[in-house]
Amino acid sequence: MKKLLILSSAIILCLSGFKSFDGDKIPSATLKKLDGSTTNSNTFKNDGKPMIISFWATWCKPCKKELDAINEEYAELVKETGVKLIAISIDDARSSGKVVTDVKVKGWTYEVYIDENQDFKRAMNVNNVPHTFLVDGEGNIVWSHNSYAEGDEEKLFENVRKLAKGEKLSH
Amino acid sequence: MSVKFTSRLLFIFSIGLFYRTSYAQLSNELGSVHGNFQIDAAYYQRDTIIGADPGSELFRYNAFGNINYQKGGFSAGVRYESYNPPLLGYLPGYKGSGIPYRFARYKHKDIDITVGNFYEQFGSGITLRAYENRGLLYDNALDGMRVIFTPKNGITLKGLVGKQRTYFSLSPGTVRGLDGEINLMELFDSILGKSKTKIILGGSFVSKYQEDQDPTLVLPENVGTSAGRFTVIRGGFNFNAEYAYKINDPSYQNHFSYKEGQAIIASTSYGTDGFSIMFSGKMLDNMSFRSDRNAQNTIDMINYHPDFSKFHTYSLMAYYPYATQPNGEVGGTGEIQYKFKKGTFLGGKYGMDITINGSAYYALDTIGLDPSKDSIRHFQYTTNYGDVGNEYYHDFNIEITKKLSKKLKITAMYANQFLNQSIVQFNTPDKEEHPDITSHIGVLDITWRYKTGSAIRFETQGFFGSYDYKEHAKDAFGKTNITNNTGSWVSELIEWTPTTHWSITLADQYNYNNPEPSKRVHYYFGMLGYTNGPTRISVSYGRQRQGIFCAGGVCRFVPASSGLSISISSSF
Amino acid sequence: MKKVFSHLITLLFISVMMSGCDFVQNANPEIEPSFNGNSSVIYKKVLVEDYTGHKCGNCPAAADVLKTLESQYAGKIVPMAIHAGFFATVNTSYPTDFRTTAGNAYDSQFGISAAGNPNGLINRAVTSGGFIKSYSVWGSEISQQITEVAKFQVKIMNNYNAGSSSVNTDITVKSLANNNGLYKLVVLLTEDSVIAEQLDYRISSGSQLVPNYEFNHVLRGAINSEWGDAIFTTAANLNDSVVKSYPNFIINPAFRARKCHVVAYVYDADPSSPTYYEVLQVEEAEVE
Repeated sequence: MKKLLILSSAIILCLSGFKSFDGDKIPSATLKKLDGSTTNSNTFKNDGKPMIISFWATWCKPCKKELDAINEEYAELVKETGVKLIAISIDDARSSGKVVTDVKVKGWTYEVYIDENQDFKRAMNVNNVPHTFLVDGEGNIVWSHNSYAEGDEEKLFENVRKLAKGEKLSH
Repeated sequence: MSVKFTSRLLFIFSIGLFYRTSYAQLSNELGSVHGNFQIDAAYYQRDTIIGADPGSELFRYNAFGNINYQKGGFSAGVRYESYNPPLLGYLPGYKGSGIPYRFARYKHKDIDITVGNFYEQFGSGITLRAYENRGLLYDNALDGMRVIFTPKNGITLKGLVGKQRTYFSLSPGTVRGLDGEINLMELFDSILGKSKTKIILGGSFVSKYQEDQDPTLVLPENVGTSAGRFTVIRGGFNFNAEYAYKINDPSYQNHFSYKEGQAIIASTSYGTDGFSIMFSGKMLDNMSFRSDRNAQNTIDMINYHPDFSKFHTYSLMAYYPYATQPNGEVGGTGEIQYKFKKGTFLGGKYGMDITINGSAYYALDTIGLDPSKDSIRHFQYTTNYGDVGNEYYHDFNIEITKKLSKKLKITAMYANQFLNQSIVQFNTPDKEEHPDITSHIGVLDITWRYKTGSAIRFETQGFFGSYDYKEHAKDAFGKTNITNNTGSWVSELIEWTPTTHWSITLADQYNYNNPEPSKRVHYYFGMLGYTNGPTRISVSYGRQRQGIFCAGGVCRFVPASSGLSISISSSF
Repeated sequence: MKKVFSHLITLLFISVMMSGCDFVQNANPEIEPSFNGNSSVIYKKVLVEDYTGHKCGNCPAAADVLKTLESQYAGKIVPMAIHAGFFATVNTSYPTDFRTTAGNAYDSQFGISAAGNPNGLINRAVTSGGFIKSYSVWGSEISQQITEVAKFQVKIMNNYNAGSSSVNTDITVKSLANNNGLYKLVVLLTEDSVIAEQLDYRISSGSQLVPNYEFNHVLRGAINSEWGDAIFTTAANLNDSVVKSYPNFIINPAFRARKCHVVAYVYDADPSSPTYYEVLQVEEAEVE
């Protein structure tokens, strides 16, 4: 019991110093497009506008909730800020066939890639999905968020708007 | 506090300090250093009512930390892992600490070279999949070298050699693999122009080597598997298929049968705005392929047998899950999704989603060979591909999600499931001990967003099972096979997210009509979660019911447990 | 350059394809392996423990492997079948209780039924995979063990009294080297050719319950105790010997004395030794 307490307090102490990724470029990894061709993550571009990179899976309820919630305001947000959402599915062979059907039926207009070998997931140090990153106009990763709770998308929208205006982000 | 424990703490601190002091200074010229870690620790207690006996080691944990370095096309990384001992329900062989994963990788133009550990998948994985799932503690990373060569846009060639991770050491066998894939449209883009139809062809060959030291049998030291695959994509239409053949591969898992192995996997889907249909089917016969022929559990598996059955997220729906039977199975899964548009009669103001999914899996129809006539070849059985054997599993389910107002969203789900648990989970035809289970399961999930950033979610589930006991309900000692899990269940859950940083969950599962009244027990559970950016911390307390954990086609028994858990994960 | 590279890859592909497969036409080895060693040296005999159960449908396959090994390593191994754990429990279909106090103790000590049946121990030696060996590696483990020079020699003298159906057993243990560890001697009783019900998954049609299955080397109990008696309490020199006598051990009338064997083994009983529990020498002798 004592060990548990010491361990947890040690970790919380450490964590207080962490910030995420700030200011780094998107690492390179090979990804599959929905049409079967391959691309590299270091080619992600949005003409100097911010990008959202969201890791998800077809079997992950909170991921789909988050992407659905974003989708409801996505058109408006794109108009306002020029943001682009890139959805990275980490589905393996069991469910990768479902990625395209899920995207179509949900009517998502995001750019979707499959990270079948999870190389990009490892390169971005993602432990669990959903995990969402914000990338600024210069291609620097400036913010990230793990897991999804109802209403989390509001914080994301707020940060996208700030980023588009060049303001400081909040966590 | 023991020396070992102190050194573990030091390790954790050092990651933190290393990061704090160094990240600011590491500019892009020097490359970037990143990492992540996760710690799941538990302090167990004995709980005789649910049969939770954690043994004498009450504090257990699973922990790992990755540190990766990248500069241009070069990357390198290490992962430290520690389990002293691992949490209940994980393979005890993982007990220990070490650095089982380290690699260096260099990509330049058309060449991509990795030395050290790596993960890889050929096609659907039926010939090779080196894969990790840290949550399940499934890790069969290869340790060796890999070359990926892309001579032309649209052609990818992969070659690899290595040994698989086996706990904190390596498998006795060596794996060698080659894979080639041609994307015809990418390759001939310039000649054919932009074609709407995409065709991808692929082929792979994987061979393992393991010395034969058995004095009683002539064992093949080199065992090869080859496969061919193709994919056609046009608009919302997608079709892919793969066929694999494996030569004689006697192993512990197939009871040392020398018969060849075969597999066919096919999947087709069509999706358009608001509607999709998907069907996946497969047939596997003797396709277990491991780098150590004597391996058990999820250890040393070279290939992967995709399981298309629905991956349930509601706990009672996932209570009796299916696991691929690599020794032989045939079956398929189909799914239709439809979205009632906003403004239609059923769609209402916000639309409505409906998903209908069905799966059915059967044994192969096999004919056992008379041992006296099979003494030379040791095939043990032949397969009649014209028919199927006993039913293993089925799951028919329907899920409806509807947003009633800006604040209220409802999901309702029903499933009818059947599981031949004696074969699928316990690998024995003993139905007395493990009866077949047919169940009806219902779920209602209501989310109420009472203000921006704050929500309450209610989840109520019911599991109504009938257990086919046949005539023997009691053994010679009058002991019944009624376990803590027998009977029907209800589950209630409430999850409150007051702000986007915090969440509180309270849940109870109740085995309300166990035939033995003393086993009607409440499995209460409470959790407090905190999320900030990439960091997530949760503390939970409660009871965990005994169950079956399935990964990579192999199921593992997870004992009942009770206690306090803490989980921390972060990345930087 | 590129062309050369792709030709090289093609060549590599073909050569791997050719060498990557061993097609076995006959699964039975032509030459029976055996180790004869030096006739003036005493080698270790190997205690092969088959942990099994009558409700374990995969276990007859292991018993058959053990039978093959017995003929291949005649006189070099001592087989013993231990019925314990979940698969050995009795019910109306499998009424014969083969479990013993000693067998249950070994099963829980080495965690065998927790790991699943069939599984075995080969001289209770630890290798990289731990104590427990699946039956597919028994042969190779035995072939290693029998090449080791023995530290002890064990001799069994049995005197059976039919009137009282009891046996007097004298065990002589001779030290073949300077041995200064902690050693214990365990004396057990086994029975052959017991006919009872067994589940056998290899039967493809009809009932898989074999009503008249022949069980061999069934552990029937301990003559002294499951963890035995200490021997050579002071360090043993070369050629030191000790005699342990176990008089008037009554054989359960349900067992047939003419089918019974006395099995005696010496093991490393030093908890701090890396080879703790390892069997250093074993012998068996008929009761009658």
